[in-house]
Amino acid sequence: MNDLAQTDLAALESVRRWANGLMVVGGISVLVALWLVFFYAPTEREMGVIQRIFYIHVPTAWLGELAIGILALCSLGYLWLRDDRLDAIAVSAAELALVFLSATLVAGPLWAKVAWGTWWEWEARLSFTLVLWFINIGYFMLRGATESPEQGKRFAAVLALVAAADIPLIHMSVYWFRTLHPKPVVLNPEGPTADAEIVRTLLFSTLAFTLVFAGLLLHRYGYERLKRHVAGLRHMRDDRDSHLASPETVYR
Amino acid sequence: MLSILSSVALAFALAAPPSQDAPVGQDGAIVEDSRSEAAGTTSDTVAAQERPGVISGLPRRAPEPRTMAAYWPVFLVLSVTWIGFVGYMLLLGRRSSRLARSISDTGAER
Repeated sequence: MNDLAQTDLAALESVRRWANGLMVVGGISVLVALWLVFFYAPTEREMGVIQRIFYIHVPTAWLGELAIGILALCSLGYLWLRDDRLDAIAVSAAELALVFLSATLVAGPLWAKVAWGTWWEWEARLSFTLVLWFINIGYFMLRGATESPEQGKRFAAVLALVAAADIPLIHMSVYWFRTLHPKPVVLNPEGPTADAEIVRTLLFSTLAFTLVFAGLLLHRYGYERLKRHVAGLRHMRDDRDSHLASPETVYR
Repeated sequence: MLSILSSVALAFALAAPPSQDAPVGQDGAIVEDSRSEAAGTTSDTVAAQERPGVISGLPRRAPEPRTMAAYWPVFLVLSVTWIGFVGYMLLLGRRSSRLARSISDTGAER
Protein backbone atom coordinates (compact mmCIF):
# COMPACT_ATOMS: atom_id res chain seq x y z
CA MET A 1 0.00 0.00 0.00
CA ASN A 2 1.57 3.33 -1.00
CA ASP A 3 1.74 6.57 1.02
CA LEU A 4 -1.26 8.07 -0.77
CA ALA A 5 -3.43 5.12 0.20
CA GLN A 6 -2.23 5.40 3.81
CA THR A 7 -3.17 9.10 3.83
CA ASP A 8 -6.58 8.26 2.37
CA LEU A 9 -7.25 5.65 5.03
CA ALA A 10 -6.18 8.05 7.81
CA ALA A 11 -8.58 10.67 6.39
CA LEU A 12 -11.37 8.08 6.29
CA GLU A 13 -10.73 7.18 9.93
CA SER A 14 -11.09 10.86 10.80
CA VAL A 15 -14.35 11.03 8.78
CA ARG A 16 -15.65 7.99 10.69
CA ARG A 17 -14.84 9.61 14.05
CA TRP A 18 -16.62 12.83 13.04
CA ALA A 19 -19.61 10.83 11.81
CA ASN A 20 -19.88 8.93 15.10
CA GLY A 21 -19.62 12.16 17.10
CA LEU A 22 -22.32 13.84 15.03
CA MET A 23 -24.58 10.81 15.33
CA VAL A 24 -24.27 10.80 19.14
CA VAL A 25 -24.91 14.56 19.44
CA GLY A 26 -27.73 14.27 16.88
CA GLY A 27 -29.32 11.36 18.76
CA ILE A 28 -29.32 13.32 22.05
CA SER A 29 -30.71 16.39 20.24
CA VAL A 30 -33.50 14.31 18.71
CA LEU A 31 -34.51 13.12 22.20
CA VAL A 32 -34.60 16.74 23.42
CA ALA A 33 -36.59 17.68 20.28
CA LEU A 34 -39.13 14.93 21.06
CA TRP A 35 -39.54 16.32 24.57
CA LEU A 36 -40.10 19.80 23.08
CA VAL A 37 -42.63 18.45 20.56
CA PHE A 38 -44.77 16.73 23.19
CA PHE A 39 -44.31 18.87 26.31
CA TYR A 40 -43.19 22.37 25.27
CA ALA A 41 -44.90 23.22 21.98
CA PRO A 42 -48.53 24.31 22.37
CA THR A 43 -51.41 22.55 20.66
CA GLU A 44 -52.24 24.51 17.53
CA ARG A 45 -55.69 26.10 17.49
CA GLU A 46 -57.06 24.93 14.14
CA MET A 47 -55.49 21.53 13.50
CA GLY A 48 -55.04 20.45 17.10
CA VAL A 49 -52.69 17.64 18.05
CA ILE A 50 -51.87 16.45 14.52
CA GLN A 51 -50.08 19.72 13.81
CA ARG A 52 -47.19 18.17 15.80
CA ILE A 53 -46.39 16.10 12.68
CA PHE A 54 -45.07 19.46 11.39
CA TYR A 55 -41.94 19.05 13.58
CA ILE A 56 -41.02 15.84 11.70
CA HIS A 57 -42.39 16.54 8.25
CA VAL A 58 -40.76 19.96 7.73
CA PRO A 59 -37.21 18.93 8.84
CA THR A 60 -37.27 15.78 6.70
CA ALA A 61 -38.47 17.79 3.68
CA TRP A 62 -35.81 20.45 4.24
CA LEU A 63 -33.06 17.82 4.58
CA GLY A 64 -34.26 15.96 1.48
CA GLU A 65 -33.91 19.19 -0.47
CA LEU A 66 -30.56 20.02 1.18
CA ALA A 67 -29.30 16.59 0.11
CA ILE A 68 -30.42 17.29 -3.46
CA GLY A 69 -28.60 20.64 -3.27
CA ILE A 70 -25.38 18.93 -2.11
CA LEU A 71 -25.85 16.31 -4.84
CA ALA A 72 -26.20 18.99 -7.51
CA LEU A 73 -23.21 21.05 -6.32
CA CYS A 74 -20.94 18.00 -6.12
CA SER A 75 -22.18 16.76 -9.50
CA LEU A 76 -21.38 20.14 -11.04
CA GLY A 77 -17.93 19.96 -9.44
CA TYR A 78 -17.45 16.43 -10.74
CA LEU A 79 -18.40 17.43 -14.30
CA TRP A 80 -15.86 20.23 -14.11
CA LEU A 81 -12.94 18.70 -12.17
CA ARG A 82 -13.54 14.92 -12.60
CA ASP A 83 -12.58 14.45 -8.95
CA ASP A 84 -13.74 11.03 -7.73
CA ARG A 85 -14.25 12.34 -4.17
CA LEU A 86 -16.93 14.74 -5.40
CA ASP A 87 -18.75 11.86 -7.07
CA ALA A 88 -18.52 9.90 -3.80
CA ILE A 89 -20.14 12.80 -1.89
CA ALA A 90 -22.77 13.12 -4.66
CA VAL A 91 -23.81 9.46 -4.54
CA SER A 92 -23.91 9.57 -0.70
CA ALA A 93 -26.10 12.68 -0.76
CA ALA A 94 -28.37 11.08 -3.38
CA GLU A 95 -28.95 8.07 -1.14
CA LEU A 96 -29.75 10.28 1.85
CA ALA A 97 -32.05 12.42 -0.31
CA LEU A 98 -33.97 9.24 -1.13
CA VAL A 99 -34.28 8.35 2.58
CA PHE A 100 -35.41 11.83 3.66
CA LEU A 101 -37.72 12.47 0.70
CA SER A 102 -39.33 9.07 1.27
CA ALA A 103 -39.89 10.00 4.94
CA THR A 104 -41.47 13.28 3.78
CA LEU A 105 -43.72 11.52 1.29
CA VAL A 106 -44.86 9.00 3.94
CA ALA A 107 -45.45 11.55 6.72
CA GLY A 108 -47.26 14.00 4.40
CA PRO A 109 -50.17 11.76 3.40
CA LEU A 110 -50.67 10.59 7.01
CA TRP A 111 -51.04 14.23 8.04
CA ALA A 112 -53.13 15.05 4.98
CA LYS A 113 -55.59 12.24 5.71
CA VAL A 114 -56.43 13.80 9.08
CA ALA A 115 -56.05 17.49 8.14
CA TRP A 116 -57.46 17.55 4.58
CA GLY A 117 -59.47 14.32 4.62
CA THR A 118 -57.52 12.77 1.73
CA TRP A 119 -54.31 10.78 1.47
CA TRP A 120 -53.12 12.49 -1.68
CA GLU A 121 -54.02 15.52 -3.74
CA TRP A 122 -52.42 16.36 -7.09
CA GLU A 123 -51.57 19.88 -6.00
CA ALA A 124 -48.37 21.63 -7.11
CA ARG A 125 -46.11 21.15 -4.11
CA LEU A 126 -46.93 17.47 -3.66
CA SER A 127 -46.57 16.78 -7.38
CA PHE A 128 -43.18 18.54 -7.65
CA THR A 129 -41.93 16.66 -4.58
CA LEU A 130 -43.02 13.35 -6.09
CA VAL A 131 -41.26 14.30 -9.35
CA LEU A 132 -38.08 15.00 -7.33
CA TRP A 133 -38.37 11.56 -5.70
CA PHE A 134 -38.70 9.89 -9.11
CA ILE A 135 -35.69 11.82 -10.48
CA ASN A 136 -33.75 10.67 -7.41
CA ILE A 137 -34.59 7.03 -8.20
CA GLY A 138 -33.68 7.70 -11.85
CA TYR A 139 -30.25 8.92 -10.69
CA PHE A 140 -29.40 5.46 -9.33
CA MET A 141 -30.92 3.67 -12.32
CA LEU A 142 -28.86 5.80 -14.70
CA ARG A 143 -25.62 5.12 -12.82
CA GLY A 144 -26.18 1.40 -13.16
CA ALA A 145 -27.52 1.42 -16.70
CA THR A 146 -24.37 2.40 -18.61
CA GLU A 147 -21.60 0.03 -19.68
CA SER A 148 -18.80 2.32 -18.57
CA PRO A 149 -18.94 3.47 -14.91
CA GLU A 150 -17.37 6.82 -15.85
CA GLN A 151 -20.14 7.44 -18.39
CA GLY A 152 -22.74 6.52 -15.75
CA LYS A 153 -21.24 9.03 -13.34
CA ARG A 154 -21.33 11.79 -15.98
CA PHE A 155 -24.92 11.09 -17.07
CA ALA A 156 -26.11 10.88 -13.45
CA ALA A 157 -24.35 14.18 -12.66
CA VAL A 158 -26.34 15.87 -15.43
CA LEU A 159 -29.57 14.37 -14.07
CA ALA A 160 -28.66 15.70 -10.61
CA LEU A 161 -28.64 19.23 -12.07
CA VAL A 162 -32.14 18.61 -13.45
CA ALA A 163 -33.24 17.46 -9.97
CA ALA A 164 -31.88 20.67 -8.44
CA ALA A 165 -34.00 22.72 -10.85
CA ASP A 166 -37.10 21.17 -9.20
CA ILE A 167 -36.30 22.62 -5.75
CA PRO A 168 -37.21 26.27 -6.57
CA LEU A 169 -40.44 24.97 -8.11
CA ILE A 170 -41.30 23.18 -4.85
CA HIS A 171 -40.61 26.31 -2.83
CA MET A 172 -42.36 28.79 -5.08
CA SER A 173 -45.34 26.53 -5.84
CA VAL A 174 -47.30 27.94 -2.87
CA TYR A 175 -46.99 31.43 -4.40
CA TRP A 176 -47.43 30.51 -8.06
CA PHE A 177 -50.28 28.00 -7.82
CA ARG A 178 -53.40 27.48 -5.76
CA THR A 179 -52.27 24.78 -3.35
CA LEU A 180 -53.47 23.14 -0.16
CA HIS A 181 -50.09 23.68 1.45
CA PRO A 182 -49.92 26.87 3.54
CA LYS A 183 -47.47 29.66 2.78
CA PRO A 184 -44.24 29.55 4.83
CA VAL A 185 -44.80 30.30 8.52
CA VAL A 186 -41.11 30.76 9.41
CA LEU A 187 -39.19 31.80 6.30
CA ASN A 188 -41.40 34.58 5.02
CA PRO A 189 -40.39 38.21 4.42
CA GLU A 190 -42.54 39.54 7.30
CA GLY A 191 -40.95 37.21 9.83
CA PRO A 192 -42.40 34.10 11.51
CA THR A 193 -46.19 34.08 11.75
CA ALA A 194 -46.42 31.19 14.21
CA ASP A 195 -46.18 31.27 18.02
CA ALA A 196 -42.66 31.68 19.40
CA GLU A 197 -42.80 28.24 21.05
CA ILE A 198 -43.82 26.61 17.76
CA VAL A 199 -40.97 28.34 15.88
CA ARG A 200 -38.41 27.44 18.58
CA THR A 201 -39.50 23.78 18.58
CA LEU A 202 -39.38 23.63 14.79
CA LEU A 203 -35.91 25.19 14.64
CA PHE A 204 -34.55 22.86 17.32
CA SER A 205 -36.10 19.81 15.67
CA THR A 206 -34.59 20.88 12.32
CA LEU A 207 -31.18 21.29 13.96
CA ALA A 208 -31.42 17.84 15.58
CA PHE A 209 -32.39 16.15 12.30
CA THR A 210 -29.63 18.08 10.50
CA LEU A 211 -27.01 16.72 12.93
CA VAL A 212 -28.26 13.17 12.30
CA PHE A 213 -28.21 13.87 8.55
CA ALA A 214 -24.61 15.15 8.71
CA GLY A 215 -23.54 12.06 10.65
CA LEU A 216 -25.23 9.74 8.16
CA LEU A 217 -23.74 11.62 5.20
CA LEU A 218 -20.22 11.31 6.60
CA HIS A 219 -20.74 7.60 7.35
CA ARG A 220 -22.05 6.98 3.85
CA TYR A 221 -19.19 8.98 2.29
CA GLY A 222 -16.61 7.02 4.32
CA TYR A 223 -18.19 3.77 3.20
CA GLU A 224 -18.22 4.85 -0.46
CA ARG A 225 -14.55 5.92 -0.41
CA LEU A 226 -13.48 2.69 1.29
CA LYS A 227 -15.49 0.63 -1.20
CA ARG A 228 -13.81 2.38 -4.13
CA HIS A 229 -10.42 2.00 -2.48
CA VAL A 230 -10.94 -1.76 -2.09
CA ALA A 231 -12.25 -2.02 -5.67
CA GLY A 232 -9.12 -0.20 -6.88
CA LEU A 233 -6.84 -2.57 -4.97
CA ARG A 234 -8.69 -5.59 -6.37
CA HIS A 235 -8.43 -4.17 -9.87
CA MET A 236 -4.68 -3.69 -9.44
CA ARG A 237 -4.28 -7.24 -8.10
CA ASP A 238 -6.31 -8.72 -10.96
CA ASP A 239 -4.25 -6.75 -13.50
CA ARG A 240 -1.04 -7.99 -11.92
CA ASP A 241 -2.28 -11.61 -11.84
CA SER A 242 -3.42 -11.53 -15.46
CA HIS A 243 -0.11 -9.94 -16.46
CA LEU A 244 1.85 -12.66 -14.67
CA ALA A 245 -0.30 -15.40 -16.20
CA SER A 246 -0.13 -14.08 -19.78
CA PRO A 247 1.86 -16.22 -22.29
CA GLU A 248 4.01 -13.24 -23.18
CA THR A 249 5.14 -12.86 -19.55
CA VAL A 250 5.76 -16.62 -19.27
CA TYR A 251 7.85 -16.52 -22.47
CA ARG A 252 9.93 -13.64 -21.11
CA MET B 1 -88.41 -11.12 28.25
CA LEU B 2 -89.39 -7.79 29.72
CA SER B 3 -86.66 -8.07 32.33
CA ILE B 4 -84.03 -8.76 29.60
CA LEU B 5 -85.17 -5.73 27.59
CA SER B 6 -85.19 -3.52 30.66
CA SER B 7 -81.71 -4.68 31.69
CA VAL B 8 -80.36 -3.98 28.16
CA ALA B 9 -81.95 -0.54 28.24
CA LEU B 10 -80.43 0.10 31.65
CA ALA B 11 -76.99 -1.01 30.39
CA PHE B 12 -77.21 1.41 27.44
CA ALA B 13 -78.31 4.19 29.75
CA LEU B 14 -75.36 3.59 32.06
CA ALA B 15 -72.86 3.27 29.17
CA ALA B 16 -74.01 6.43 27.41
CA PRO B 17 -71.30 9.17 27.36
CA PRO B 18 -71.94 12.35 29.34
CA SER B 19 -73.40 15.30 27.50
CA GLN B 20 -70.90 17.10 25.25
CA ASP B 21 -72.86 20.32 25.10
CA ALA B 22 -70.91 22.05 27.82
CA PRO B 23 -67.97 24.10 26.50
CA VAL B 24 -64.46 23.06 27.43
CA GLY B 25 -62.18 25.53 29.16
CA GLN B 26 -58.50 26.20 28.54
CA ASP B 27 -57.32 23.57 30.99
CA GLY B 28 -59.80 20.98 29.74
CA ALA B 29 -62.33 21.52 32.54
CA ILE B 30 -66.03 21.74 31.68
CA VAL B 31 -67.17 25.32 31.98
CA GLU B 32 -70.58 25.95 33.43
CA ASP B 33 -73.19 26.98 30.89
CA SER B 34 -73.62 30.69 31.28
CA ARG B 35 -76.93 30.61 29.38
CA SER B 36 -78.60 29.39 32.52
CA GLU B 37 -77.44 32.51 34.32
CA ALA B 38 -79.73 35.48 34.45
CA ALA B 39 -79.39 37.89 31.54
CA GLY B 40 -78.71 40.74 33.92
CA THR B 41 -75.27 39.43 34.91
CA THR B 42 -73.50 40.61 31.72
CA SER B 43 -71.38 43.18 33.51
CA ASP B 44 -70.34 40.54 36.08
CA THR B 45 -69.28 38.19 33.23
CA VAL B 46 -67.20 40.88 31.54
CA ALA B 47 -65.56 41.69 34.87
CA ALA B 48 -64.85 37.98 35.42
CA GLN B 49 -63.31 37.73 31.95
CA GLU B 50 -60.99 40.60 32.70
CA ARG B 51 -59.81 39.11 35.99
CA PRO B 52 -56.71 36.96 35.56
CA GLY B 53 -57.13 33.27 36.29
CA VAL B 54 -60.84 33.21 35.53
CA ILE B 55 -61.87 30.93 32.65
CA SER B 56 -63.74 32.93 30.04
CA GLY B 57 -64.91 29.93 27.99
CA LEU B 58 -63.04 31.13 24.90
CA PRO B 59 -59.72 29.26 24.81
CA ARG B 60 -56.88 31.05 23.03
CA ARG B 61 -55.40 27.70 22.05
CA ALA B 62 -56.93 24.31 21.48
CA PRO B 63 -57.36 22.38 24.73
CA GLU B 64 -55.05 19.45 25.34
CA PRO B 65 -56.82 16.16 24.59
CA ARG B 66 -57.77 14.15 27.66
CA THR B 67 -56.51 10.85 26.26
CA MET B 68 -53.57 9.89 24.07
CA ALA B 69 -55.92 8.52 21.38
CA ALA B 70 -55.82 11.81 19.46
CA TYR B 71 -52.04 11.45 19.10
CA TRP B 72 -52.16 8.30 16.93
CA PRO B 73 -51.24 10.02 13.63
CA VAL B 74 -48.25 11.72 15.33
CA PHE B 75 -47.05 8.43 16.84
CA LEU B 76 -47.56 6.66 13.51
CA VAL B 77 -45.51 9.27 11.61
CA LEU B 78 -42.77 9.16 14.26
CA SER B 79 -42.68 5.35 14.14
CA VAL B 80 -42.60 5.14 10.34
CA THR B 81 -39.92 7.85 10.08
CA TRP B 82 -37.67 6.29 12.72
CA ILE B 83 -38.15 2.75 11.42
CA GLY B 84 -36.97 4.13 8.06
CA PHE B 85 -33.93 5.91 9.55
CA VAL B 86 -32.90 3.03 11.83
CA GLY B 87 -33.43 0.60 8.94
CA TYR B 88 -31.14 2.71 6.76
CA MET B 89 -28.51 2.85 9.54
CA LEU B 90 -28.66 -0.95 9.89
CA LEU B 91 -28.32 -1.33 6.14
CA LEU B 92 -25.28 0.96 6.15
CA GLY B 93 -23.76 -0.98 9.06
CA ARG B 94 -24.35 -4.29 7.28
CA ARG B 95 -22.75 -3.03 4.07
CA SER B 96 -19.76 -1.70 6.02
CA SER B 97 -19.26 -5.01 7.86
CA ARG B 98 -19.49 -6.88 4.53
CA LEU B 99 -16.83 -4.56 3.12
CA ALA B 100 -14.62 -5.07 6.19
CA ARG B 101 -14.99 -8.86 5.75
CA SER B 102 -14.01 -8.61 2.07
CA ILE B 103 -10.95 -6.51 3.05
CA SER B 104 -9.84 -9.14 5.54
CA ASP B 105 -10.46 -11.87 2.93
CA THR B 106 -8.32 -9.94 0.43
CA GLY B 107 -5.60 -9.66 3.07
CA ALA B 108 -5.76 -13.40 3.73
CA GLU B 109 -5.49 -14.16 0.00
CA ARG B 110 -2.28 -12.16 -0.15
